[in-house]
Amino acid sequence: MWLFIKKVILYGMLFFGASMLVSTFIYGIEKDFFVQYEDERVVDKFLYVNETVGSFNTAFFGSSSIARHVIPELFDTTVGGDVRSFNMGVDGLKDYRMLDLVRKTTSEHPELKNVFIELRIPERDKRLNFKNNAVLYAARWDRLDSIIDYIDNSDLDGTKRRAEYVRLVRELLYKYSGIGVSKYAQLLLGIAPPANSLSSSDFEKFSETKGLAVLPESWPSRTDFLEGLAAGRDPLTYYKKEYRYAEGAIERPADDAYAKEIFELGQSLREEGRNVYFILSLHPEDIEYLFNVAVLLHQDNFIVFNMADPDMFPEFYELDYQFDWGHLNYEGAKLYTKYLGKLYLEVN
Amino acid sequence: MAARTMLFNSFEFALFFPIVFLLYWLVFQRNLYIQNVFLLVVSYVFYAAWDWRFLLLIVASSLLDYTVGVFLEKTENTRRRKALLITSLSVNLGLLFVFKYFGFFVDSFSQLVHMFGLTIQTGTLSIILPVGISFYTLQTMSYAIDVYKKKMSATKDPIAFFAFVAFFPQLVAGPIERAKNLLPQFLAARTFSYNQTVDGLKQVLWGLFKKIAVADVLAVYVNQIHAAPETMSSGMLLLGTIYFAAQVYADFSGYSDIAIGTARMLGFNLMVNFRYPFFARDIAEFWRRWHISLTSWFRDYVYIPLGGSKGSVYRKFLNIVIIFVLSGLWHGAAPTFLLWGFLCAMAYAPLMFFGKHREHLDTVAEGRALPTVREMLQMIGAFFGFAVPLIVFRTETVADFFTYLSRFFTSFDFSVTYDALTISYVLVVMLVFEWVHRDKEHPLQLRSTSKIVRGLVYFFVFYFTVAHISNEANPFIYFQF
Repeated sequence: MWLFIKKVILYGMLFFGASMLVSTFIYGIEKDFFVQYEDERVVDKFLYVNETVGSFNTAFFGSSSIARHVIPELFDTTVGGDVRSFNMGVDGLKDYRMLDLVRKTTSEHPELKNVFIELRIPERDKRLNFKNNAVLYAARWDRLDSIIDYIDNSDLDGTKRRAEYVRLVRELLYKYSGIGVSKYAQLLLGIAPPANSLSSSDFEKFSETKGLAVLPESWPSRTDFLEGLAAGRDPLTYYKKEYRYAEGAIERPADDAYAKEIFELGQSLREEGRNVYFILSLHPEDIEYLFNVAVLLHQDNFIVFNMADPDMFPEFYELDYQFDWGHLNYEGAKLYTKYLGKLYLEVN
Repeated sequence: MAARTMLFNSFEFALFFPIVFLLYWLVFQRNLYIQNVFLLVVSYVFYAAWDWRFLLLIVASSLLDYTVGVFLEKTENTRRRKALLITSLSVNLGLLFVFKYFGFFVDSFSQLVHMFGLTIQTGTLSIILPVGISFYTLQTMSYAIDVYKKKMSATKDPIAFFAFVAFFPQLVAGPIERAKNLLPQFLAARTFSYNQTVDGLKQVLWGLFKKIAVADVLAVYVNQIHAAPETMSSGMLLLGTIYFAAQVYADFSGYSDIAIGTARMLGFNLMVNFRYPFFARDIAEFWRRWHISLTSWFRDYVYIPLGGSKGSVYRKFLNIVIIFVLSGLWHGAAPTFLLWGFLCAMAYAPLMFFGKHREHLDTVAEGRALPTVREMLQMIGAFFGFAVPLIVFRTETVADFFTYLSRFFTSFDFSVTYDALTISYVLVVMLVFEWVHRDKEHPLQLRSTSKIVRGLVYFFVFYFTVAHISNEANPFIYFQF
C-alpha cells in the first residue's frame, strides 16, 4: 500500500513536472505571451506602430474611454507643434494589460515622447473568464503579488474571494503548464484560434483614424436609455453626487501593489526622458480608489488630467454628446479631445 | 442535461476518491463489515452530491429487493414466489415509469387524442430524472430474478446488499452489474493488491483520456454541426456522423473505464462494458462489444425468455425489434430513441436471417499488425451501421434526423473545414492505441517490457489528457439515461 502511495506521489510529481517542461517547450519556444494571448486588436495596433515607426511621437493608452474619445488628428491640431499622436486604446484594455502594453510599446519606441495613460481600477471582470486570452495575458508569476493583493483587498465576500483564488490558480496552470488548454492543441496546429470575447467590429479601419475606434453605424446609440434615465433622475446630477462623495472620501495616497505598479511605470518612463500624463477619464468605476492613486502620483509631481470632473465638463453628460453611460458619441469625442488638448497646453 | 453530479472528471471527484481510497485501505481494511459500511456511506455521499432527496429512492429500491430476496429464500411456494417477484418488478418498473416515462406517455396520449380533433389538459408535471435510476433499477431487478430462478442465493447481509446497489463507481452509469458477479465480492474479504491497484489506476487514466481528450474535444464540432445541419455540406455532415459516434463511444466507454478502474482500486472486479466495438467486422459483432452489460442484460432477461433466435423467421425478427426498441426506450422516453432502436434492429436483422450473426467471435486480425483490406472494409461497414442510426440519437426530433439525412444526400458538397478535419487527430490517437492493444482489457496494459517505453507511453497519455482539460467538467452523456 505504502509502495503504491509513494509511487503515485513520485510519478505524479514527475509527470506533472514533465508536463510543464513539454508545455514550455511547445508553447513557450517564443514565449511571447503578448502575441499569444493578447486581444488581436491590441496586437494589431502594436504591430502597426512598429511598421510605421517614426510616424508618431505621442501615444494614448487606455480602454474604450480613450479608444473612442481621443481623436488623434484633432488633438494634434489643437495642441499644435510637432505632436503626432496615435491612439493605442482598445475597448476593455485596462489595468495590468494596459500597463504591459505601455511597457512593451515604449521599450521598442524611444521616439514616443508623450505618453498618456488612462487610470482604471484593476478589474478581473467575471465575464472575462479564464478562457479569455486577455485575462490570461494579465495573469503572470511576476505579477502574482499584485493580483493577490488586489483580490485580498477587494470587497468580494469569502466565497467569491475563494473562487477568485481558484480561478487565478487555474489561469496560471492553464498558462504555464498546459493544463486545461483544450485550445492549445488547436493553436499548435494553427486552427481555431481562441475566441476573444471582445468584438473587433469597431476596429477595422484604425490605420485611417490613427487608432481612434469609430463605432460602426450598426451600433445603436443608447440615448433612449439615457433619456429614460434622465426622466427619472438627471444623469449629471446623479453622477455629480457620486463624484462629490468620492472626492470627499479621499484619505491617503493609494499604497497597494497595483497603484505602485502604475507609479513605478510612470517613474521609469520619466527616467527615459518622456513626458507622462495620466488621465482620469469619463465616469470610471471605483473613482474613490482612483483619486487615491492620483494622490500618490501627485506626490511625485505626475500630471493627472481629470476628465471625470462633472463640474469642469458638464457637456459630457448631455444627451447630444453621449453614446451610452460612460461613452460619448463622435461629437462628444471631438469635445473630449479639444478639452484634453487644452489641458495639455496648460501644462506645456 | 440537468444532472449535476460528482463527475469522474471533476475536481470534486479528484479530491473525493483519494480520500476514500486511503481511508478504505488504511483505516477500514481490517473489518469487512466496517469496510462495507464505509463503502455504503461514501456511495450515498457521492450520490447525494447530485441530490440527496433521491437517496430515498435507492434506499427504497434496495430495501424492497433485499426483503424480496430474503422472503424468496424462505419459501418454496411457487405462487408466493411469483407474487414476490411480481412485487419487485412492479415497484422497480413503476418507479422507472414514473420518473422516466410518465411525461412521455402523457404527451404521446395527448397528441394522439389531438389527432382526432380533441384536446385534453394534461397539466404540466415536471419530474426530474434521478441520475442512475435506469442503471441501478436493472441491477436490483436482476438480483430478484436470479434469486427467483434460483441462480443464486439471497444475501442476508443488508449492508453488503445496500452497498452492492449503491456502489459509487458504477452507480450512475454502470456497468450494470449482475448480483452473481458483484454481490459475492462484497461478502468476501478484500485485500490490497499492488498490481490490481496499479492496473485500475491505468484504466482510470485511459478512461479520463477518452473522456477529456477525445469525447469533449469532438463534442465541440458535433455540437456545431448539429446546431444547424441544414447549413452544412455533406462532408461536414459525414464528419458529424463519424465524430458523434466516436464521441459517444469515448464518453461512455471512458466512463466505464473509470468506473472499472476505481472499483479495481478498491478491490472489486466489474464486468467489461466495451470490447473495442469499432474493430467489429459486422453489426452483430459490434453489439456484442458495445455496452455489454446492457446488451447482455436484455439478452438474458428479455431476449432469451422471448425465445431468442429460435422459432419462425417472423418470431426472430419480432424478438430483434423488441430488444432494440426496448433498448432505445431504456435510453430515453422520446420518439428519437424509439426510432434509433428500430433502425438498429433493421441493421441487425439481415445478419440474423442469413445466419451470419455469429460469424465473427474472435478478435480481428489476430496475430497480425494490420487488418486485411476486406477486414478494413468490414469494420468501416459495421461502424456506419452503428453511426448512421445514431444520428437520430443526437437530433432533437425525428424531423431533424430526416433534415440531416436529406441535406447529406442533396448537398453534394464534400468540402470540410480545415479545423474540423484536423481535430480528428484525437480520434486517430485513440484508435491507434486501441488497435495495438485490442486483445487487452484496456490499452494501457502495455506489452512492452521496457520500463522507459512504458513510462513514455503513460506520460504521453497523461499529458495528452491534462492538455485537453477544459474550463468546466463536462457531464458524461450517459448520465442523462
